[in-house]
Amino acid sequence: MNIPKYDLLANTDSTLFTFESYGTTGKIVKGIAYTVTKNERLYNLGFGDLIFDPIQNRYIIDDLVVSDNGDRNTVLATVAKSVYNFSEIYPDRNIFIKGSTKARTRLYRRAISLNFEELSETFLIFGAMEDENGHVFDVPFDPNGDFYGFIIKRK
Amino acid sequence: MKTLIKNNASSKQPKINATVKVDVKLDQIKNIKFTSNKLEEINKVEFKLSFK
Repeated sequence: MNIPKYDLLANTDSTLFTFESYGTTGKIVKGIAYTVTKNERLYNLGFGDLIFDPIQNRYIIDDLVVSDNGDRNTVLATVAKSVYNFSEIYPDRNIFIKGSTKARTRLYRRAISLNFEELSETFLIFGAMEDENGHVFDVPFDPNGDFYGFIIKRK
Repeated sequence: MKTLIKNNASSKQPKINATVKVDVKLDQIKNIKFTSNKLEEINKVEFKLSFK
């Protein structure tokens, strides 16, 4: 992906990444976390501003904040790089991607669509749909689809 | 814990060939939480995937 990306730092087991976003509002430390779901082979990808909560005395990822640092494509490319890194180390772990808001899910759909050909060299990409019974199943990715989320599987 | 995250970036500018380096200090961050309840919502649904 010939889009500039930020350098990443990773924890030892490559489930937590951080990077620094530089833009119009200055420097923002970002965090990317791969968290196992109820399905032990499905990991949720979440990212946002990495902040220290003094009340909880712990770091949290604020995935609701609108940072507006003017570097959205660079941030998304950096997150994508972590997907390559995580899935290279754990090829049997599938990755679930869903925005913290519907607008963000649509943004991710557009980003996947724009880079679909390149991503498809390495990954199988599915849309995820939820039915009325609370079941989520995979469907072929559609650049115009209205998805619950997306599932990435390393080839 | 507060000083865990420092400006360790080797360059402020994004690059085509960005690097991934291990920082063992990040191992101290366990069970990270998110501001949204997205993860809790995801764990309420049942994934019925056609593949393993």
